[in-house]
Amino acid sequence: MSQPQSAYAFYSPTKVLSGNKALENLPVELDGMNAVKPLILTTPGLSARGMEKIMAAAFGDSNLTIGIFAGVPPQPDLRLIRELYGLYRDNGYDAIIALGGGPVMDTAKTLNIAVSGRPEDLERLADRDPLTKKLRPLAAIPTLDLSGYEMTRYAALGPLSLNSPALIPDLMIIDSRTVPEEEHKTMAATALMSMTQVVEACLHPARNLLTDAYAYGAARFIMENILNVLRHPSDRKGRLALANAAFFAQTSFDNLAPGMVFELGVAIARSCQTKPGLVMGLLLPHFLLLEMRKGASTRKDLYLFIGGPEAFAGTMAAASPRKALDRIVETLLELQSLVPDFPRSIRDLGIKKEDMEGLVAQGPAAGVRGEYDPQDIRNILEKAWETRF
Amino acid sequence: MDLPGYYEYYCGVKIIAGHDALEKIPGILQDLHARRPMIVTDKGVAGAGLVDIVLGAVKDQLIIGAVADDVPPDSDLRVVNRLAALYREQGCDALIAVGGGSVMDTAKGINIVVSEGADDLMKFSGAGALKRPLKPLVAVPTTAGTGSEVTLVAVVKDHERHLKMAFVSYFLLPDVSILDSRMTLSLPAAITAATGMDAMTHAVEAYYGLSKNPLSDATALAAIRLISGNLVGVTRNPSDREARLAMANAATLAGMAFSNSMVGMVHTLGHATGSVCGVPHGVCMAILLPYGLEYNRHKREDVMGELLFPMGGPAVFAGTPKEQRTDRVIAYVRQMNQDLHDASGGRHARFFKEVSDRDGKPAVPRERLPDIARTALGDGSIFYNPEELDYDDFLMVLEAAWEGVALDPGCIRK
Repeated sequence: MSQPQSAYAFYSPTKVLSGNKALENLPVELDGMNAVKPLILTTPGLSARGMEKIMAAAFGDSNLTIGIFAGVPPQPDLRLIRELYGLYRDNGYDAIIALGGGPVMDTAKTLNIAVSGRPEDLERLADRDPLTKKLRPLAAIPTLDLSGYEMTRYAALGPLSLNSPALIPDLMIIDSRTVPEEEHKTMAATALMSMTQVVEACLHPARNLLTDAYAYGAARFIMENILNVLRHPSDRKGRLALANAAFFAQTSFDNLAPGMVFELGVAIARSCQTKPGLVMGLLLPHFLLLEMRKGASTRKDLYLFIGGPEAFAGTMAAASPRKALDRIVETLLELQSLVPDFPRSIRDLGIKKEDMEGLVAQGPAAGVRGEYDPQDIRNILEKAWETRF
Repeated sequence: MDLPGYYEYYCGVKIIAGHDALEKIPGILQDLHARRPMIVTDKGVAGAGLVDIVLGAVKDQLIIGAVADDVPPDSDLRVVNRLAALYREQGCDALIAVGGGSVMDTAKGINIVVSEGADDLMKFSGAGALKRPLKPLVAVPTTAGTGSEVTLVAVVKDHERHLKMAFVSYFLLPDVSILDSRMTLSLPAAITAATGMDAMTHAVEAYYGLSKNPLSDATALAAIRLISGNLVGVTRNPSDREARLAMANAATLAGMAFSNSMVGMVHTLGHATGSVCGVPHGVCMAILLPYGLEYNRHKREDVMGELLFPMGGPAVFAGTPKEQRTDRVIAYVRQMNQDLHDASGGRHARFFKEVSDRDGKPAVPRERLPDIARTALGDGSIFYNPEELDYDDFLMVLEAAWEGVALDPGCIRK
């Protein structure tokens, strides 16, 4: 079995509060960071689902004054940041609470750079000036509609692409009231994206003991809960487990480099307006097959993560990598039966053959930043195009 | 994997590990905007040449403001104040703590004084008294056991006023912990064994304790796997660098686990035995761990059985029926103590009557067991133990641990 790297660095600065009434602890946590007047950012959609009321109720008898901006659009831009910067400064807010997924977090992280220094700092960061300064307190309250980057060092806003450990939220709250049921397709996509982050972290050459520990927690929660949650979306504990899993997976992912399936999934989803997790789910089995054929790099205990100790220990070592793949494919098939119009191949998403060749050729320009063998990319894309699960 | 109704987890310490991790210190301090650190350590660590290794790793890239190598084995308020004055005189702007628990505690105490401009440390004791980040603190542990490189507690003793001040704050966490195999290579066999079992106890008690959570579980399982695979071997063969690094990692992982869940009766009795008889903490942990498992098993049978996987590996796990797994886990821990006893030439104690003090006299006389049991009653760690214990229960466990026999199942509460 190939061992994790002996030399490594690992960093996860987020404090986690998960479970019953977690939200009620937010005022105390903010106070510990010397913040008493947070600005809550969220989307019109979440606001319409009553999230503001839930937040206000949870903050009921605390001394916090809260501001709410519930207008974060699906594609936030720098104009919004300028507007929010004015709002934050004029009202004397001293912390940011991001309630929601990708766009809300991107907005919150970017705004945090602006309000922690000067708005011009944003331009400098885009010039790859490293950000080492501590920012204002940032709390994240993620849902199950995620981009995969929420709890990481990455933020993207229009043309701006930021990357600094200082952007990682200080605090994360997972509370059943703020992890509402989402559409089946959304929850399935988020779980598949977390799963992709887990599998790619497990197989990453620079993986270490801590990325493995987080990946293990994520994989167990996803495999034990995803089908249940889709069969019974009212399963609150199951939804919380999936939200926890998403955080563990992102932390593991954030301490390594993004993998090929993740990057391809993001790039393809952008070009055909679908959820990246759905694409990743369709690519993942082909990626694993390719890894298994290469042999050397596939770890023998991947099935421990995917199947759990009991199943792993009961399987012959030689059959174990194959079992991991089988379990993932089985799960994908189950999801397809549970989720209306779940794509069966990337062809179903409207991807054309010539688009794929474009993706292979463009590589980094299409957002596929890692140094992958173009032959591997072509192989996986073709298989995911031709095969219907 | 179980998701509790509510949990919290935090470990904002950056971990840097490797056979040459010390060489990363200058870059780390630069990121933290510090350029003139003070090194805090003790005579034993300095005498073993470890400070020289640290200095060698950072030379030419860093100006060391001061090296304070006289931290006593027991943290001391006067030393904290004296070293804080030295820090200021020398214009230092960060701390590098090279050592074990007392050095870490002392460095954390100095950090409060120099960051808060405090003249009375007492003002900052208890939880929540610190309100803002302190000066950069880099921890370089030289034993693989306590996990204090990732804990948020510091204990400083005021020997004049006979006070023990406890400080609890996220701001006390080191910014960075450096796990470098060179720091534990010269650790003697008996200390390697005892500190390794300290880490094992952290992980095992965190895993079967009442406030476990998915991240304390994941880190505990990884720690137990590493300790099971490396501790006996490295006690036998101290110069095995890979095993040394594995144990350093294990101690940190176990530290993350227990500081985010809680420990239980093994620590309760260990603290009491340490305070009444002066027995090193790791020695107490090694001896008492099987009894924590035995005493609590009826409440945590399934959870304990899961530990056979990281301890024995997949083949043993699969080959053992579920209802026998906890027995195997308890037997495994006892066997580990036996193996460590053999690997250390008999210096690793398996039960209390085997522990001797520096003069070779019994360190835990049987007649002191009632004192230990009474002292244990006042220790807060018992709160998170799965089954309750009163004085008679403590004494019953201590008697068995003294003699080295299994608990009589008929005597355990049900």
